[in-house]
Amino acid sequence: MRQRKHLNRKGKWLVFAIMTITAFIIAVLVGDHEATKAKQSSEPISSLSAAPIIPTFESKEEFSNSALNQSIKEKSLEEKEALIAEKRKDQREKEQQTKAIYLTFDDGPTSHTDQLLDILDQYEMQATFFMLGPNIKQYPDAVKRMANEKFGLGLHGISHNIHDIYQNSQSPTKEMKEAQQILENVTGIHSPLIRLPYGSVPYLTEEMRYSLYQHEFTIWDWNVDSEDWELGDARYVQTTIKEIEELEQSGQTPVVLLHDKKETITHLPKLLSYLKNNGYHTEKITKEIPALTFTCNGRCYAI
Amino acid sequence: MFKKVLAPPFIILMASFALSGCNHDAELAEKIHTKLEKSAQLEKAFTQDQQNLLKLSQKEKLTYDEIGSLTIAQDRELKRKIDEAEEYNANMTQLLQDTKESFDEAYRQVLTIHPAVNKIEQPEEKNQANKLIKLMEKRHDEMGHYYKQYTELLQLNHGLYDLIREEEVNPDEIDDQIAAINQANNEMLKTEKQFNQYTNKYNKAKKKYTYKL
Repeated sequence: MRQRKHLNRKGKWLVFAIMTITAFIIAVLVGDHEATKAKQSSEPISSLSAAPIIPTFESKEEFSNSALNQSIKEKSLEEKEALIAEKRKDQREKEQQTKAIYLTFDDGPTSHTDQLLDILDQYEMQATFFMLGPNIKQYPDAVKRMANEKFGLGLHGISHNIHDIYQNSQSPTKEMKEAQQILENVTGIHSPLIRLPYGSVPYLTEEMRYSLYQHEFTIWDWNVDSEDWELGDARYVQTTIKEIEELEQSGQTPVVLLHDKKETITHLPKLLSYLKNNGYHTEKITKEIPALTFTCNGRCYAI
Repeated sequence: MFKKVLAPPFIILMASFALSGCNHDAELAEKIHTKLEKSAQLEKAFTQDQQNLLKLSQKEKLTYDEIGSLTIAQDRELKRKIDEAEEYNANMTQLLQDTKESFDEAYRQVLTIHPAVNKIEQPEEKNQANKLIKLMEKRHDEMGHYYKQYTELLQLNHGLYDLIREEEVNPDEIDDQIAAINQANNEMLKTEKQFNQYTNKYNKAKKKYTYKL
């Protein structure tokens, strides 16, 4: 039979004491732990959050769309036009002494340009050509001949289409710069002289005009429209002579609009004979001569 | 004999030691919690500085728009408005500095939990507390980036008014400057977004940590 061992009285007391002390320690610790928890749970836990960055800066509108910029451009244009007008007065005094006239031919070069140059040479007359970029590429030899013979070289853009060249404020500048580069590639001449297709009024807006001036272009219009394009025959000579005479009376130097085309060239000798017989002296346009430019005066609008 | 007599007290003793460890961590957690709350409190100043910066920035933008609506003939008014806008811009530079300092103070407060975190015994709690510190470090890095970008942006903005003030105004040059300003602002918005993502993570981590207390 298995003998059970029993604690004596002393042992019992020892176990009792150990258990009591242990229970006391546990009570204190757990009580403290619970008290801490209770204390914490009685307070709001983490009521505050870290803060985000608030967007504090707003993007800005382009200055070019502002009324201020518009007014700056208008003022700049007014000043430039006033300056050119002043210079033209001085120029007119010089031109009057030599009875100067400027013949200008647009839209070339063409397959007829050589014939045109022959006639001008024959009459020993000067002229200025406002040419289209693609035509310069097509007839480079004619352009080289103009350069060699010291004719005036200018630009007429690329497209000759009002919906392209007057598309936006930068498109005339873009076309003229392209044509300028083509001319320079062929002749080595960097020309700032330009004529806008159909003239600078009404499609060339002030924005476009300002941009061209910013890029150092000189805008040339005319004061004698030969109407060679519309009339298409010898009648244009009479029209031109009549206008030149009227202009002479009003004290202005004629800047004649002609076109580099077959019908014009055919009847050109008649006009040149008239000029020679009446003592006119043809001059070529250079960048030093103050330009004759139409002013908008509220007539310009975007297409 | 051992099983019957000594095992129960032994188990009880071990449990009490374990509870004593919990109690130790709880005290640390409370300390940490207090510091985190103080840091969050400091971020209120950070928010307030930003609100002030926003008000000033709105005034500066409004003045820029007013400048654009004038004409060159209104030269006196134009000069007055340019001066006004430049003053707003200069004050924004100062407020930006204040904003950064407010944040840095809150950041430094969080760093003071480091010694307490090192003493935490429970690995999971320790990890969570360390995660909080790391997220605050990331916020601090982004704030440094934001401050640098904003300072450069305000310098560009100052340059804009110098260009408008010139005798011969060049609109293309001004538009290029505005494009640079707007580009810098877009880059700064990306930094703001990144900072705010870390802030969200930080707040979630903080909530999770303190919830366990």
